[in-house]
Amino acid sequence: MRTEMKRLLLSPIFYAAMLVFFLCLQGYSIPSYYRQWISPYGSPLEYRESALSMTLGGIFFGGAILLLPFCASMGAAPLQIDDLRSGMTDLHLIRSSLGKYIAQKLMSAFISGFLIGSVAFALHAMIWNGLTLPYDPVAYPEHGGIFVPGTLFHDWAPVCHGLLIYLEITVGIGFTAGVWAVIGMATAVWVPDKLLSVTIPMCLYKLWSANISYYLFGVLVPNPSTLYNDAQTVNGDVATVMAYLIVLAGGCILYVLGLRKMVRHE
Amino acid sequence: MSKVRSVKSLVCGQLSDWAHSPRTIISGLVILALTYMNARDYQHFLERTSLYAYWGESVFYFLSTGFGNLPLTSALFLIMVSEVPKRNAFQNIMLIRSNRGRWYASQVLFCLLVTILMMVVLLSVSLGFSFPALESGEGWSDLERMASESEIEYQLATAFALELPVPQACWLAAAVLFCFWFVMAFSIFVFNLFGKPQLGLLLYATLLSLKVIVLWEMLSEFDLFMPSDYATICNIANTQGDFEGVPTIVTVLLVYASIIAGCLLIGYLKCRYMDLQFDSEKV
Repeated sequence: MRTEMKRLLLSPIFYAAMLVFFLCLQGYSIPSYYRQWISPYGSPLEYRESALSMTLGGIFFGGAILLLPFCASMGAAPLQIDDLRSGMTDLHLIRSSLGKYIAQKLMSAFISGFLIGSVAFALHAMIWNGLTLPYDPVAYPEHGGIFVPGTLFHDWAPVCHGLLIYLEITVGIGFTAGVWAVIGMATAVWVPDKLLSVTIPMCLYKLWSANISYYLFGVLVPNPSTLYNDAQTVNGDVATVMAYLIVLAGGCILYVLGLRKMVRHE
Repeated sequence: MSKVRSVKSLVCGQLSDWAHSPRTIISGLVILALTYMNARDYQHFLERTSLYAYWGESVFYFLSTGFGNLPLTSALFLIMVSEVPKRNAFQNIMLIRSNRGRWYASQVLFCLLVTILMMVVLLSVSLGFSFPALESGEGWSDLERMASESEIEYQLATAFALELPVPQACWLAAAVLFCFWFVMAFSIFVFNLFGKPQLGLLLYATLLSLKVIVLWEMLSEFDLFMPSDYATICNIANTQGDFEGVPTIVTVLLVYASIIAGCLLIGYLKCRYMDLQFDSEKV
Protein backbone atom coordinates (compact mmCIF):
# COMPACT_ATOMS: atom_id res chain seq x y z
CA MET A 1 0.00 0.00 0.00
CA ARG A 2 2.83 2.35 0.93
CA THR A 3 4.61 1.63 -2.34
CA GLU A 4 1.43 2.20 -4.31
CA MET A 5 0.73 5.50 -2.56
CA LYS A 6 4.34 6.59 -3.04
CA ARG A 7 4.06 5.79 -6.73
CA LEU A 8 0.85 7.80 -7.04
CA LEU A 9 2.07 10.76 -5.05
CA LEU A 10 5.34 10.96 -6.95
CA SER A 11 3.57 10.86 -10.30
CA PRO A 12 3.59 14.21 -12.14
CA ILE A 13 0.09 13.53 -13.47
CA PHE A 14 -1.25 13.54 -9.90
CA TYR A 15 0.00 17.09 -9.40
CA ALA A 16 -1.14 18.07 -12.90
CA ALA A 17 -4.67 16.91 -12.02
CA MET A 18 -4.58 18.87 -8.77
CA LEU A 19 -3.34 21.95 -10.60
CA VAL A 20 -6.06 21.66 -13.26
CA PHE A 21 -8.76 21.42 -10.60
CA PHE A 22 -7.23 24.31 -8.66
CA LEU A 23 -7.21 26.44 -11.84
CA CYS A 24 -10.83 25.47 -12.55
CA LEU A 25 -11.77 26.83 -9.15
CA GLN A 26 -10.13 30.14 -10.07
CA GLY A 27 -12.42 30.51 -13.11
CA TYR A 28 -14.88 32.52 -11.05
CA SER A 29 -12.63 34.02 -8.38
CA ILE A 30 -9.94 35.67 -10.51
CA PRO A 31 -12.34 37.45 -12.91
CA SER A 32 -14.52 38.53 -9.95
CA TYR A 33 -11.50 39.77 -8.01
CA TYR A 34 -10.30 41.64 -11.07
CA ARG A 35 -13.68 43.27 -11.62
CA GLN A 36 -14.17 44.22 -7.99
CA TRP A 37 -10.67 45.20 -6.91
CA ILE A 38 -8.57 46.08 -9.95
CA SER A 39 -10.70 47.08 -12.94
CA PRO A 40 -11.50 50.81 -13.29
CA TYR A 41 -15.05 49.76 -14.25
CA GLY A 42 -15.39 47.60 -11.13
CA SER A 43 -17.87 47.61 -8.27
CA PRO A 44 -17.88 50.37 -5.67
CA LEU A 45 -16.22 49.46 -2.35
CA GLU A 46 -19.38 48.42 -0.51
CA TYR A 47 -20.19 45.63 -3.00
CA ARG A 48 -16.95 43.66 -2.72
CA GLU A 49 -17.47 39.95 -2.16
CA SER A 50 -16.29 38.11 0.95
CA ALA A 51 -13.59 35.42 0.97
CA LEU A 52 -16.32 32.80 1.48
CA SER A 53 -18.21 33.99 -1.57
CA MET A 54 -15.00 34.14 -3.64
CA THR A 55 -14.05 30.62 -2.57
CA LEU A 56 -17.44 29.06 -3.21
CA GLY A 57 -18.09 31.00 -6.41
CA GLY A 58 -15.94 28.64 -8.47
CA ILE A 59 -18.08 25.71 -7.35
CA PHE A 60 -21.44 27.45 -7.77
CA PHE A 61 -20.47 28.76 -11.20
CA GLY A 62 -20.26 25.20 -12.52
CA GLY A 63 -17.13 24.59 -14.59
CA ALA A 64 -15.14 23.12 -11.72
CA ILE A 65 -18.03 20.81 -10.84
CA LEU A 66 -18.00 19.27 -14.32
CA LEU A 67 -14.24 18.76 -14.35
CA LEU A 68 -14.00 17.24 -10.85
CA PRO A 69 -14.48 13.59 -12.00
CA PHE A 70 -12.03 14.21 -14.85
CA CYS A 71 -9.32 15.52 -12.52
CA ALA A 72 -10.10 12.90 -9.84
CA SER A 73 -9.63 9.98 -12.24
CA MET A 74 -6.49 11.49 -13.78
CA GLY A 75 -4.44 10.50 -10.74
CA ALA A 76 -4.85 6.72 -10.69
CA ALA A 77 -6.65 5.47 -13.84
CA PRO A 78 -3.81 6.15 -16.35
CA LEU A 79 -1.36 4.39 -14.01
CA GLN A 80 -3.63 1.35 -13.92
CA ILE A 81 -3.60 1.27 -17.72
CA ASP A 82 0.21 1.53 -17.71
CA ASP A 83 0.29 -1.43 -15.30
CA LEU A 84 -1.94 -3.50 -17.56
CA ARG A 85 -0.14 -2.60 -20.78
CA SER A 86 3.35 -3.13 -19.41
CA GLY A 87 2.54 -6.44 -17.70
CA MET A 88 3.29 -4.93 -14.29
CA THR A 89 -0.03 -6.27 -12.96
CA ASP A 90 1.10 -9.84 -13.65
CA LEU A 91 4.38 -9.23 -11.80
CA HIS A 92 2.50 -7.75 -8.85
CA LEU A 93 0.28 -10.82 -8.72
CA ILE A 94 3.26 -13.20 -8.69
CA ARG A 95 4.54 -11.53 -5.50
CA SER A 96 1.14 -10.94 -3.94
CA SER A 97 -2.51 -11.99 -4.27
CA LEU A 98 -5.32 -10.65 -6.43
CA GLY A 99 -7.36 -9.61 -3.37
CA LYS A 100 -4.47 -7.66 -1.89
CA TYR A 101 -3.68 -6.03 -5.22
CA ILE A 102 -7.32 -4.98 -5.69
CA ALA A 103 -7.58 -3.57 -2.16
CA GLN A 104 -4.34 -1.60 -2.56
CA LYS A 105 -5.31 -0.22 -5.94
CA LEU A 106 -8.82 0.82 -4.92
CA MET A 107 -7.74 2.38 -1.65
CA SER A 108 -4.88 4.30 -3.21
CA ALA A 109 -7.17 5.49 -6.04
CA PHE A 110 -9.73 6.71 -3.53
CA ILE A 111 -7.07 8.50 -1.49
CA SER A 112 -5.51 10.09 -4.57
CA GLY A 113 -8.94 11.34 -5.72
CA PHE A 114 -9.65 12.61 -2.22
CA LEU A 115 -6.36 14.50 -2.13
CA ILE A 116 -6.80 15.99 -5.60
CA GLY A 117 -10.20 17.42 -4.69
CA SER A 118 -9.66 18.44 -1.11
CA VAL A 119 -6.09 19.78 -1.28
CA ALA A 120 -6.90 21.91 -4.34
CA PHE A 121 -10.00 23.29 -2.63
CA ALA A 122 -8.22 23.91 0.69
CA LEU A 123 -5.43 25.77 -1.09
CA HIS A 124 -7.98 27.79 -3.03
CA ALA A 125 -9.82 28.70 0.20
CA MET A 126 -6.61 29.72 1.96
CA ILE A 127 -5.51 31.96 -0.90
CA TRP A 128 -8.82 33.81 -1.14
CA ASN A 129 -9.03 34.21 2.63
CA GLY A 130 -5.65 35.85 2.46
CA LEU A 131 -6.52 38.11 -0.46
CA THR A 132 -10.03 39.29 0.41
CA LEU A 133 -12.03 40.19 3.50
CA PRO A 134 -13.19 37.25 5.64
CA TYR A 135 -16.90 36.54 5.75
CA ASP A 136 -18.35 38.81 8.46
CA PRO A 137 -21.93 39.96 7.91
CA VAL A 138 -21.90 41.89 11.22
CA ALA A 139 -19.04 44.18 10.18
CA TYR A 140 -19.93 44.09 6.45
CA PRO A 141 -23.70 43.64 5.97
CA GLU A 142 -23.26 43.20 2.21
CA HIS A 143 -21.55 39.83 2.90
CA GLY A 144 -24.80 38.32 4.20
CA GLY A 145 -27.68 36.68 2.39
CA ILE A 146 -25.70 34.35 0.14
CA PHE A 147 -27.29 31.14 1.47
CA VAL A 148 -30.91 30.06 1.42
CA PRO A 149 -32.51 30.04 4.93
CA GLY A 150 -33.15 26.50 6.18
CA THR A 151 -29.98 25.08 4.65
CA LEU A 152 -26.94 23.88 6.58
CA PHE A 153 -24.67 26.55 5.13
CA HIS A 154 -27.06 29.30 6.24
CA ASP A 155 -26.73 28.10 9.84
CA TRP A 156 -22.99 27.45 9.67
CA ALA A 157 -21.95 30.66 7.92
CA PRO A 158 -21.63 32.86 11.06
CA VAL A 159 -19.32 30.34 12.83
CA CYS A 160 -15.65 31.45 12.61
CA HIS A 161 -16.07 33.29 9.27
CA GLY A 162 -17.57 30.18 7.64
CA LEU A 163 -14.94 27.69 8.87
CA LEU A 164 -17.49 24.88 9.17
CA ILE A 165 -18.49 25.40 5.53
CA TYR A 166 -14.87 25.25 4.38
CA LEU A 167 -14.32 22.04 6.34
CA GLU A 168 -17.52 20.41 5.08
CA ILE A 169 -16.71 21.24 1.46
CA THR A 170 -13.13 20.02 1.82
CA VAL A 171 -14.38 16.65 3.06
CA GLY A 172 -17.38 16.54 0.69
CA ILE A 173 -15.36 17.38 -2.40
CA GLY A 174 -12.67 14.88 -1.36
CA PHE A 175 -15.18 12.07 -0.83
CA THR A 176 -16.89 12.81 -4.17
CA ALA A 177 -13.55 12.93 -5.99
CA GLY A 178 -12.48 9.67 -4.29
CA VAL A 179 -15.59 7.87 -5.55
CA TRP A 180 -15.02 9.17 -9.09
CA ALA A 181 -11.39 8.04 -8.93
CA VAL A 182 -12.65 4.51 -8.20
CA ILE A 183 -15.07 4.80 -11.15
CA GLY A 184 -12.06 5.83 -13.24
CA MET A 185 -10.24 2.66 -12.13
CA ALA A 186 -13.25 0.51 -13.07
CA THR A 187 -13.30 2.22 -16.46
CA ALA A 188 -9.57 1.67 -16.91
CA VAL A 189 -9.82 -2.12 -16.58
CA TRP A 190 -12.78 -2.43 -18.95
CA VAL A 191 -11.65 0.18 -21.50
CA PRO A 192 -7.84 0.36 -21.33
CA ASP A 193 -7.64 3.72 -23.06
CA LYS A 194 -6.13 6.59 -21.07
CA LEU A 195 -8.30 9.26 -22.62
CA LEU A 196 -11.52 7.31 -22.10
CA SER A 197 -10.58 6.32 -18.56
CA VAL A 198 -10.74 9.98 -17.54
CA THR A 199 -13.56 11.14 -19.79
CA ILE A 200 -16.06 8.34 -19.10
CA PRO A 201 -16.35 9.31 -15.38
CA MET A 202 -16.90 12.92 -16.47
CA CYS A 203 -19.61 11.86 -18.93
CA LEU A 204 -21.34 9.69 -16.32
CA TYR A 205 -21.21 12.58 -13.89
CA LYS A 206 -22.68 14.96 -16.46
CA LEU A 207 -25.48 12.53 -17.35
CA TRP A 208 -26.23 11.95 -13.66
CA SER A 209 -26.14 15.67 -12.99
CA ALA A 210 -28.46 16.35 -15.96
CA ASN A 211 -30.94 13.86 -14.43
CA ILE A 212 -30.79 11.22 -17.15
CA SER A 213 -32.60 8.83 -14.80
CA TYR A 214 -35.56 11.19 -14.74
CA TYR A 215 -35.68 11.49 -18.52
CA LEU A 216 -35.45 7.74 -19.02
CA PHE A 217 -37.34 6.27 -16.07
CA GLY A 218 -38.97 9.22 -14.30
CA VAL A 219 -36.79 8.65 -11.21
CA LEU A 220 -35.20 11.64 -9.48
CA VAL A 221 -31.84 11.02 -7.80
CA PRO A 222 -29.80 13.43 -5.63
CA ASN A 223 -27.50 15.75 -7.54
CA PRO A 224 -23.91 14.41 -7.61
CA SER A 225 -22.53 17.78 -6.48
CA THR A 226 -24.74 17.96 -3.37
CA LEU A 227 -21.93 17.22 -0.90
CA TYR A 228 -19.97 20.33 -1.81
CA ASN A 229 -22.59 22.65 -3.18
CA ASP A 230 -24.92 25.09 -1.42
CA ALA A 231 -28.55 24.35 -0.44
CA GLN A 232 -27.41 21.33 1.59
CA THR A 233 -29.80 19.77 4.08
CA VAL A 234 -29.31 16.81 6.40
CA ASN A 235 -31.77 14.67 4.42
CA GLY A 236 -30.22 15.67 1.12
CA ASP A 237 -26.72 14.87 2.35
CA VAL A 238 -27.76 11.46 3.69
CA ALA A 239 -29.48 10.60 0.40
CA THR A 240 -26.41 11.69 -1.59
CA VAL A 241 -24.00 9.74 0.61
CA MET A 242 -26.20 6.66 0.19
CA ALA A 243 -26.27 7.17 -3.58
CA TYR A 244 -22.50 7.58 -3.67
CA LEU A 245 -21.98 4.47 -1.52
CA ILE A 246 -24.04 2.48 -4.03
CA VAL A 247 -22.00 3.96 -6.89
CA LEU A 248 -18.78 3.20 -5.00
CA ALA A 249 -19.84 -0.41 -4.43
CA GLY A 250 -20.80 -0.69 -8.11
CA GLY A 251 -17.43 0.76 -9.14
CA CYS A 252 -15.54 -1.68 -6.89
CA ILE A 253 -17.49 -4.67 -8.22
CA LEU A 254 -16.91 -3.61 -11.83
CA TYR A 255 -13.21 -3.10 -11.10
CA VAL A 256 -12.87 -6.56 -9.54
CA LEU A 257 -14.73 -8.23 -12.43
CA GLY A 258 -12.75 -6.31 -15.04
CA LEU A 259 -9.39 -6.95 -13.43
CA ARG A 260 -10.10 -10.68 -13.02
CA LYS A 261 -10.98 -10.81 -16.72
CA MET A 262 -7.79 -8.94 -17.60
CA VAL A 263 -5.37 -11.00 -15.52
CA ARG A 264 -6.83 -14.23 -16.87
CA HIS A 265 -6.18 -12.80 -20.35
CA GLU A 266 -9.76 -13.64 -21.36
CA MET B 1 -12.55 6.55 -62.32
CA SER B 2 -9.95 4.35 -60.65
CA LYS B 3 -8.82 7.39 -58.63
CA VAL B 4 -12.35 7.92 -57.32
CA ARG B 5 -12.72 4.23 -56.55
CA SER B 6 -9.39 4.21 -54.77
CA VAL B 7 -10.26 7.23 -52.59
CA LYS B 8 -13.71 5.74 -51.92
CA SER B 9 -12.26 2.46 -50.68
CA LEU B 10 -9.77 4.37 -48.49
CA VAL B 11 -12.59 6.43 -46.97
CA CYS B 12 -14.72 3.33 -46.41
CA GLY B 13 -11.80 1.71 -44.59
CA GLN B 14 -11.30 4.79 -42.42
CA LEU B 15 -15.02 5.01 -41.62
CA SER B 16 -15.18 1.35 -40.71
CA ASP B 17 -12.18 1.71 -38.39
CA TRP B 18 -13.63 4.84 -36.87
CA ALA B 19 -17.07 3.35 -36.31
CA HIS B 20 -15.60 0.35 -34.48
CA SER B 21 -13.37 2.39 -32.17
CA PRO B 22 -14.38 2.40 -28.46
CA ARG B 23 -13.83 6.16 -28.43
CA THR B 24 -16.42 6.63 -31.17
CA ILE B 25 -18.94 4.25 -29.64
CA ILE B 26 -18.74 5.57 -26.08
CA SER B 27 -18.56 9.27 -26.97
CA GLY B 28 -21.32 8.77 -29.51
CA LEU B 29 -23.62 7.21 -26.93
CA VAL B 30 -23.05 10.08 -24.50
CA ILE B 31 -23.66 12.66 -27.25
CA LEU B 32 -26.89 10.88 -28.18
CA ALA B 33 -28.00 10.90 -24.54
CA LEU B 34 -27.29 14.64 -24.25
CA THR B 35 -29.12 15.32 -27.52
CA TYR B 36 -32.07 13.23 -26.37
CA MET B 37 -32.33 15.25 -23.14
CA ASN B 38 -32.08 18.52 -25.06
CA ALA B 39 -34.84 17.43 -27.46
CA ARG B 40 -37.10 16.39 -24.58
CA ASP B 41 -36.43 19.75 -22.89
CA TYR B 42 -37.50 21.51 -26.10
CA GLN B 43 -40.65 19.38 -26.27
CA HIS B 44 -41.47 20.05 -22.58
CA PHE B 45 -40.83 23.76 -23.08
CA LEU B 46 -43.29 23.90 -25.98
CA GLU B 47 -45.90 21.93 -24.05
CA ARG B 48 -45.45 23.92 -20.83
CA THR B 49 -45.72 27.29 -22.52
CA SER B 50 -48.50 26.15 -24.90
CA LEU B 51 -46.44 27.35 -27.86
CA TYR B 52 -46.33 25.68 -31.23
CA ALA B 53 -43.32 25.30 -33.53
CA TYR B 54 -42.93 24.18 -37.11
CA TRP B 55 -40.49 21.52 -38.30
CA GLY B 56 -38.38 23.97 -40.29
CA GLU B 57 -37.87 26.42 -37.47
CA SER B 58 -37.11 23.56 -35.09
CA VAL B 59 -34.32 22.48 -37.44
CA PHE B 60 -33.01 26.03 -37.18
CA TYR B 61 -33.41 26.01 -33.40
CA PHE B 62 -31.32 22.85 -32.96
CA LEU B 63 -28.64 23.88 -35.44
CA SER B 64 -28.38 27.43 -34.14
CA THR B 65 -27.95 26.29 -30.53
CA GLY B 66 -25.51 23.47 -31.30
CA PHE B 67 -27.99 20.89 -29.97
CA GLY B 68 -28.01 22.48 -26.55
CA ASN B 69 -24.79 21.16 -24.98
CA LEU B 70 -22.22 22.63 -27.33
CA PRO B 71 -19.05 22.57 -25.14
CA LEU B 72 -19.49 18.97 -24.01
CA THR B 73 -20.83 17.72 -27.35
CA SER B 74 -17.86 19.34 -29.12
CA ALA B 75 -15.40 17.93 -26.58
CA LEU B 76 -16.84 14.44 -27.11
CA PHE B 77 -16.72 14.89 -30.89
CA LEU B 78 -13.07 15.85 -30.39
CA ILE B 79 -12.51 12.52 -28.63
CA MET B 80 -14.30 10.71 -31.46
CA VAL B 81 -11.95 12.17 -34.06
CA SER B 82 -8.83 12.21 -31.88
CA GLU B 83 -7.36 9.16 -33.63
CA VAL B 84 -7.42 10.61 -37.17
CA PRO B 85 -5.43 9.17 -38.91
CA LYS B 86 -5.82 5.93 -37.00
CA ARG B 87 -2.43 4.48 -36.17
CA ASN B 88 -2.71 0.90 -37.36
CA ALA B 89 -1.19 -1.34 -39.99
CA PHE B 90 -4.16 -0.80 -42.28
CA GLN B 91 -2.85 2.70 -43.08
CA ASN B 92 0.41 1.23 -44.41
CA ILE B 93 -1.48 -1.24 -46.59
CA MET B 94 -3.63 1.60 -47.91
CA LEU B 95 -0.53 3.61 -48.77
CA ILE B 96 1.03 0.69 -50.64
CA ARG B 97 -2.12 0.28 -52.73
CA SER B 98 -2.52 4.02 -53.28
CA ASN B 99 -0.41 7.18 -53.13
CA ARG B 100 0.11 10.10 -50.76
CA GLY B 101 -2.24 12.42 -52.66
CA ARG B 102 -5.14 9.98 -52.58
CA TRP B 103 -4.44 9.05 -48.99
CA TYR B 104 -4.55 12.74 -48.04
CA ALA B 105 -7.74 13.28 -50.06
CA SER B 106 -9.33 10.33 -48.26
CA GLN B 107 -8.43 11.83 -44.87
CA VAL B 108 -9.98 15.18 -45.81
CA LEU B 109 -13.07 13.44 -47.12
CA PHE B 110 -13.23 11.36 -43.96
CA CYS B 111 -13.22 14.48 -41.73
CA LEU B 112 -15.90 16.00 -43.97
CA LEU B 113 -18.12 12.91 -43.85
CA VAL B 114 -17.75 12.42 -40.13
CA THR B 115 -18.78 16.02 -39.47
CA ILE B 116 -21.79 15.76 -41.80
CA LEU B 117 -22.74 12.40 -40.28
CA MET B 118 -22.57 13.85 -36.78
CA MET B 119 -24.85 16.75 -37.73
CA VAL B 120 -27.35 14.54 -39.57
CA VAL B 121 -27.57 12.02 -36.73
CA LEU B 122 -27.96 14.67 -34.04
CA LEU B 123 -30.56 16.54 -36.06
CA SER B 124 -32.53 13.34 -36.71
CA VAL B 125 -32.42 12.37 -33.03
CA SER B 126 -33.46 15.87 -31.95
CA LEU B 127 -36.38 16.04 -34.37
CA GLY B 128 -37.33 12.45 -33.67
CA PHE B 129 -37.64 12.97 -29.93
CA SER B 130 -39.35 16.37 -30.09
CA PHE B 131 -41.78 15.52 -32.89
CA PRO B 132 -44.90 15.15 -30.67
CA ALA B 133 -44.71 18.88 -30.04
CA LEU B 134 -43.98 19.94 -33.63
CA GLU B 135 -46.51 21.01 -36.22
CA SER B 136 -46.41 20.95 -39.97
CA GLY B 137 -46.34 24.37 -41.59
CA GLU B 138 -44.06 26.94 -43.10
CA GLY B 139 -42.42 30.09 -41.85
CA TRP B 140 -41.71 31.32 -38.34
CA SER B 141 -44.28 30.74 -35.61
CA ASP B 142 -42.68 33.66 -33.75
CA LEU B 143 -43.81 36.04 -36.50
CA GLU B 144 -47.38 34.69 -36.30
CA ARG B 145 -47.43 35.20 -32.54
CA MET B 146 -46.02 38.70 -32.93
CA ALA B 147 -48.76 39.51 -35.42
CA SER B 148 -51.51 38.27 -33.09
CA GLU B 149 -50.16 39.65 -29.80
CA SER B 150 -48.66 43.02 -29.02
CA GLU B 151 -45.91 41.50 -26.85
CA ILE B 152 -44.76 37.87 -26.86
CA GLU B 153 -43.25 36.22 -23.78
CA TYR B 154 -41.05 33.65 -25.52
CA GLN B 155 -39.21 33.81 -28.82
CA LEU B 156 -37.93 30.54 -30.31
CA ALA B 157 -35.56 31.85 -32.99
CA THR B 158 -32.81 34.49 -32.83
CA ALA B 159 -34.26 37.88 -33.76
CA PHE B 160 -32.21 38.43 -36.94
CA ALA B 161 -33.22 35.03 -38.37
CA LEU B 162 -36.89 36.09 -38.54
CA GLU B 163 -36.00 38.39 -41.43
CA LEU B 164 -34.85 35.40 -43.51
CA PRO B 165 -36.79 32.55 -45.08
CA VAL B 166 -36.59 29.44 -42.87
CA PRO B 167 -34.57 27.26 -45.32
CA GLN B 168 -31.98 30.01 -45.78
CA ALA B 169 -31.66 30.50 -42.01
CA CYS B 170 -31.28 26.72 -41.57
CA TRP B 171 -28.51 26.53 -44.18
CA LEU B 172 -26.66 29.42 -42.52
CA ALA B 173 -26.95 27.80 -39.09
CA ALA B 174 -25.81 24.44 -40.50
CA ALA B 175 -22.87 26.07 -42.31
CA VAL B 176 -21.57 27.78 -39.16
CA LEU B 177 -21.82 24.63 -37.02
CA PHE B 178 -20.34 22.49 -39.78
CA CYS B 179 -17.37 24.84 -40.18
CA PHE B 180 -16.71 24.84 -36.42
CA TRP B 181 -16.72 21.06 -36.13
CA PHE B 182 -14.89 20.49 -39.40
CA VAL B 183 -12.08 22.90 -38.43
CA MET B 184 -11.86 21.08 -35.10
CA ALA B 185 -11.66 17.62 -36.72
CA PHE B 186 -9.27 18.71 -39.41
CA SER B 187 -6.92 20.59 -37.10
CA ILE B 188 -6.65 17.43 -34.96
CA PHE B 189 -5.64 15.56 -38.13
CA VAL B 190 -3.02 18.22 -38.93
CA PHE B 191 -1.63 18.06 -35.37
CA ASN B 192 -1.46 14.28 -35.75
CA LEU B 193 0.48 14.68 -39.00
CA PHE B 194 3.00 16.80 -37.10
CA GLY B 195 3.31 14.01 -34.54
CA LYS B 196 1.70 16.04 -31.75
CA PRO B 197 -1.73 14.43 -31.25
CA GLN B 198 -1.79 15.19 -27.52
CA LEU B 199 -1.04 18.87 -28.12
CA GLY B 200 -3.95 19.35 -30.54
CA LEU B 201 -6.36 17.54 -28.27
CA LEU B 202 -5.19 19.40 -25.18
CA LEU B 203 -5.30 22.77 -26.91
CA TYR B 204 -8.80 22.34 -28.30
CA ALA B 205 -10.17 20.75 -25.12
CA THR B 206 -8.75 23.64 -23.08
CA LEU B 207 -10.27 26.24 -25.40
CA LEU B 208 -13.64 24.49 -25.22
CA SER B 209 -13.62 24.05 -21.46
CA LEU B 210 -12.41 27.60 -20.77
CA LYS B 211 -15.79 28.76 -22.02
CA VAL B 212 -17.58 26.98 -19.16
CA ILE B 213 -14.90 27.44 -16.49
CA VAL B 214 -14.12 31.14 -16.67
CA LEU B 215 -16.64 33.85 -15.86
CA TRP B 216 -16.00 35.86 -19.03
CA GLU B 217 -18.71 38.43 -18.24
CA MET B 218 -16.37 39.90 -15.62
CA LEU B 219 -13.61 40.29 -18.20
CA SER B 220 -15.79 41.95 -20.83
CA GLU B 221 -13.39 44.89 -21.21
CA PHE B 222 -10.82 42.54 -22.77
CA ASP B 223 -11.58 41.53 -26.34
CA LEU B 224 -10.70 37.86 -25.86
CA PHE B 225 -10.96 35.37 -28.70
CA MET B 226 -12.73 32.10 -27.95
CA PRO B 227 -13.42 29.63 -30.81
CA SER B 228 -16.75 28.56 -29.30
CA ASP B 229 -18.01 32.16 -29.64
CA TYR B 230 -18.13 31.43 -33.37
CA ALA B 231 -19.52 27.90 -33.12
CA THR B 232 -23.19 28.63 -33.70
CA ILE B 233 -25.34 31.46 -34.97
CA CYS B 234 -26.70 32.02 -31.46
CA ASN B 235 -23.19 32.30 -30.00
CA ILE B 236 -22.16 34.77 -32.71
CA ALA B 237 -25.27 36.87 -32.17
CA ASN B 238 -24.84 36.86 -28.38
CA THR B 239 -21.11 37.53 -28.15
CA GLN B 240 -20.40 39.91 -31.03
CA GLY B 241 -21.11 43.48 -30.03
CA ASP B 242 -21.18 44.68 -33.65
CA PHE B 243 -23.43 41.86 -34.88
CA GLU B 244 -25.21 42.87 -38.09
CA GLY B 245 -27.01 39.65 -39.00
CA VAL B 246 -26.24 37.97 -42.32
CA PRO B 247 -23.16 40.12 -43.19
CA THR B 248 -21.49 39.13 -39.89
CA ILE B 249 -22.34 35.45 -40.44
CA VAL B 250 -20.94 35.60 -43.98
CA THR B 251 -17.74 37.23 -42.66
CA VAL B 252 -17.40 34.45 -40.06
CA LEU B 253 -17.93 31.83 -42.77
CA LEU B 254 -15.26 33.47 -44.94
CA VAL B 255 -12.82 33.41 -42.02
CA TYR B 256 -13.65 29.73 -41.50
CA ALA B 257 -13.08 29.09 -45.23
CA SER B 258 -9.64 30.72 -45.08
CA ILE B 259 -8.73 28.70 -41.96
CA ILE B 260 -9.83 25.50 -43.70
CA ALA B 261 -7.85 26.44 -46.82
CA GLY B 262 -4.78 27.16 -44.66
CA CYS B 263 -5.11 23.84 -42.82
CA LEU B 264 -5.57 21.97 -46.13
CA LEU B 265 -2.41 23.54 -47.53
CA ILE B 266 -0.32 22.91 -44.41
CA GLY B 267 -1.58 19.33 -44.22
CA TYR B 268 -0.88 18.72 -47.91
CA LEU B 269 2.66 20.09 -47.74
CA LYS B 270 3.41 18.13 -44.59
CA CYS B 271 1.90 14.94 -45.98
CA ARG B 272 3.83 15.26 -49.23
CA TYR B 273 7.29 15.25 -47.65
CA MET B 274 6.89 13.50 -44.31
CA ASP B 275 7.83 9.96 -43.43
CA LEU B 276 4.42 8.40 -42.88
CA GLN B 277 4.49 6.05 -39.89
CA PHE B 278 1.52 4.57 -38.12
CA ASP B 279 3.05 2.51 -35.36
CA SER B 280 3.29 5.13 -32.60
CA GLU B 281 1.66 4.98 -29.20
CA LYS B 282 -1.99 5.86 -28.82
CA VAL B 283 -2.94 9.39 -27.75
